[in-house]
Amino acid sequence: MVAISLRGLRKRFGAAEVIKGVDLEFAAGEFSVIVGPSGCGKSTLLRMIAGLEEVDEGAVLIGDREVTDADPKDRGVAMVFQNYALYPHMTVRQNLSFALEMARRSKAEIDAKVNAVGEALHIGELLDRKPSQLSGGQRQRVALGRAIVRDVGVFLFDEPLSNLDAALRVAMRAELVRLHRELRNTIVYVTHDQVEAMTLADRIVVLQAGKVMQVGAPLQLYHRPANLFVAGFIGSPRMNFIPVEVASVRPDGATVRSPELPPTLAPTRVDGLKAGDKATLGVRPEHLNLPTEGSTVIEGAVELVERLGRETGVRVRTSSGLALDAIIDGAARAVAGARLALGFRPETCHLFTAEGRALERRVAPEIADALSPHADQA
Amino acid sequence: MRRGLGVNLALAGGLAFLAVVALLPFWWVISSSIKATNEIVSTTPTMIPHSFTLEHFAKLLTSSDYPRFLINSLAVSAASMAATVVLAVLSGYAFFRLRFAGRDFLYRAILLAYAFPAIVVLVPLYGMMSAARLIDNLFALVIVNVTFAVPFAIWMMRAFLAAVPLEIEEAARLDGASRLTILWRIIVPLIAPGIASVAIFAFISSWTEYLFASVLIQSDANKTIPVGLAGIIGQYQVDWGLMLAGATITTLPVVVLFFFIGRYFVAGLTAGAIK
Amino acid sequence: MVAPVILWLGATLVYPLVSSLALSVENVRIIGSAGRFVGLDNYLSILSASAFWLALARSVVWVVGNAVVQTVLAMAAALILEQTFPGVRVARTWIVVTWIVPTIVIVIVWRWLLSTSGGMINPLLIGLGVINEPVGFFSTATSAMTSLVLINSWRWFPFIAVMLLAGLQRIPADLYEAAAIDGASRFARFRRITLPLLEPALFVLTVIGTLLSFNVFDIVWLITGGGPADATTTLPILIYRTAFKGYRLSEAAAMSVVAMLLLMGLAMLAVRTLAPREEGG
Repeated sequence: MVAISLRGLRKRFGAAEVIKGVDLEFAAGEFSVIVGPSGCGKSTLLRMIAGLEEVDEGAVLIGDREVTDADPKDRGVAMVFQNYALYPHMTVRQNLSFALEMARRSKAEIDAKVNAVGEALHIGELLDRKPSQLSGGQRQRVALGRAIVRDVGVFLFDEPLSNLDAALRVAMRAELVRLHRELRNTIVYVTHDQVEAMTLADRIVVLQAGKVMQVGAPLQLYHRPANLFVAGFIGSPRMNFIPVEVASVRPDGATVRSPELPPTLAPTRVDGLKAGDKATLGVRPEHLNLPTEGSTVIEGAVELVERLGRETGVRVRTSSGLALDAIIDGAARAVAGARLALGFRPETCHLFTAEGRALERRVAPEIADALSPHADQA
Repeated sequence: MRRGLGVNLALAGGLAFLAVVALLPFWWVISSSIKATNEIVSTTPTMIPHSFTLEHFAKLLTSSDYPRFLINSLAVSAASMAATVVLAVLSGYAFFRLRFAGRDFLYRAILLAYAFPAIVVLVPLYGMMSAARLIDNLFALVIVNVTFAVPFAIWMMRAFLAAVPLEIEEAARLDGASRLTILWRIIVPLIAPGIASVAIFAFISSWTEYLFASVLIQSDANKTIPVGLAGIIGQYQVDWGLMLAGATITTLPVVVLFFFIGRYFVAGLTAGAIK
Repeated sequence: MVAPVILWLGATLVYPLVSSLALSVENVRIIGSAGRFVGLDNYLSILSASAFWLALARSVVWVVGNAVVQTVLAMAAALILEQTFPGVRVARTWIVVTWIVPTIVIVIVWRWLLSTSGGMINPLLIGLGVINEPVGFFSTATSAMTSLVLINSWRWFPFIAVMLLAGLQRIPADLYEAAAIDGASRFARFRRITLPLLEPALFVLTVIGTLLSFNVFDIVWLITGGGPADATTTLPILIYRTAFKGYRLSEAAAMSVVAMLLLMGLAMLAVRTLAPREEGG
């Protein structure tokens, strides 16, 4: 089990700086996911760890050893590529044994390992086929096998599931979690899909334009996003953002108002906030439902209705032109064109300063449980 | 889109014209090489031979120096082919996959080699070979052939190398392979058609080369086919039968080679043309 | 990895080039003899000799003639080979047969076919009643040059055709379909879609073809030897004769340097057009 440390990493491609000073620590045995929109630099960061991209500034340490200038093969890392990168002219067996051949292991040792891995990943019968004769899922497993066979402490994944169909993706996700539990190696996994991030990670790193936006456990990012970007990125459908103005500030929260909202108390800390400031109120669609006792009401004309059976997605446009997405009961009635009132409990909302920084939410009973460390991880 | 009848006819006509233009001359030559001499020089040409004789071939192979020329050409072309392939693969890989100072400049400079008329370097090269005592040595021809084949060969390699995803090389690097191992075990098997194309190109260029062969080789024993055959033509001014037989045999190796790996060659040409 | 090639080409191309330049400013006559430095004398004498300019003019005629004939033939061939019909794959491979055959064979083929005693073309034409007597295809200045241009084009057009075919195949079929729906005839589609999209490739190929045909030596030398009466003495022929038959090495070197400069200018143009598209991996 090996820890990874990234210190002050910077990288430029030509005139553009793509990694702008990244400091990260990946604990040994942890499954970390780097997530972010296309172009944010997550693949580049991964490749810098692997040694496939040069580091302009900063240091990479793997297991306390500085490897910033070391060759990929000397870093003790294995990588699973997005397009699998299997050697097309070699059989599966040869693909799996290649690295061991490079390391000059004995034939007996190689055979034993390859067979073991073949069994573990259920690709034993495929060992003598060539990659072109395999399905996407099978190729993915061979790529995985190639990494496992090397017995290294660090696995790097570069969007490995994005070329698989939906059902396969779900199956592979489970497989990856199981693998991690067994091997307990340090995993750094890159994806643009926040669902993958939420389901796989022990810790998530949100990257945007070469900078780390937030690092934390999945639910931490969900309940306490540090800024507008993370709040909008994590959680699907995306959080609703309502531009508001701070009406007054109290010790237990800030009262905000906007054309479509009655004065609402957002129960957050209020450092640096004063009356008259512009701010953003965030409410997740799953917290917007039909109005109940004690909820803040907001209403508008229904634009879109998507009935999924167990829930119904609606898009409502307020009189000031703001679009709000909500997920309401599957049985609820909503008709396009009609007016609909939605409500949310003030404790479920988020407040962000004009610069996009989140104001820390006071702990509400429902999120206390969720935040207790590893409550749901066996 | 469906073609109208008119277009189809035009197409067939064009195709027939092309076939006639490209192939008929060869048919005439090959079929005439087995005709008796009087039929060859008669004033009424015949498409299908009326006579049959192998005397021209016999004469060529027994009483002229042609067999000697054939062996020399084969040796030179095979060696040039091998050397060109090795150089083209190594430097192609370096130019298109590695990064080093001056890479783009050197690549363009190499392509510029074709701007120079061979004539320009003919005399100085003669001088150099003379100083190295390589005049009348077939090895000198190999050197020259490779020089003129390599730039184009490198250019041909480009498209084939581009077709191998970079990720595969990266995977191999992570697996611990050195650059040379990657080249030999990963890249080369995957660009086999490209190598075939370059090989054919180098062989053909060598096989046909006349200018340097005529200047750098002096004794009859060391001449290659183009020079040797040209000499025979000069000698036997009107022995058409002999010449046609010579032309037929000279065409043979190229056609045979092309029969087996010709499509790779054309693929290589066209692949290189696609940027 | 690149070192071997650089060394090789450096020794076999760069050094001789420099050597040639040196030769051109000396007065070496026979190969191997020593010469004194004479400055630009050689250049002055060749540039004032009509032989040089005539040869250059003939080279220009040669190059232009080849370019025109080859391009037309190649374009026609490429268009035909782009279609689908039984045997097209074979045709696409074997169209280059005239290019892969050694020059000496080409020489023999055409000297025989076009000969005035026997051969094939003359008897054919007489038999068809087109002419009454055998025509000397290489006996007059115009006919010799024309015949050579045609023979050389016959030899080289498949090479250009194959490249053009690649360019044609890169044009997306959707464009033609959209044009057909918009009501364009075949000819209109050719003129408005094919030609404009092919233009860059055509330009590059023309430049490359020009460079290559300028340097052609063996076909001319072995068929007409530069005759009749110097009618087909292009610049390469003149240089060869001056060096190896006239034993005026330095003059020949000077001529070749001038030729080289001309071609380099043309090549720079070509590379400048090609260069922006080179990404190099």
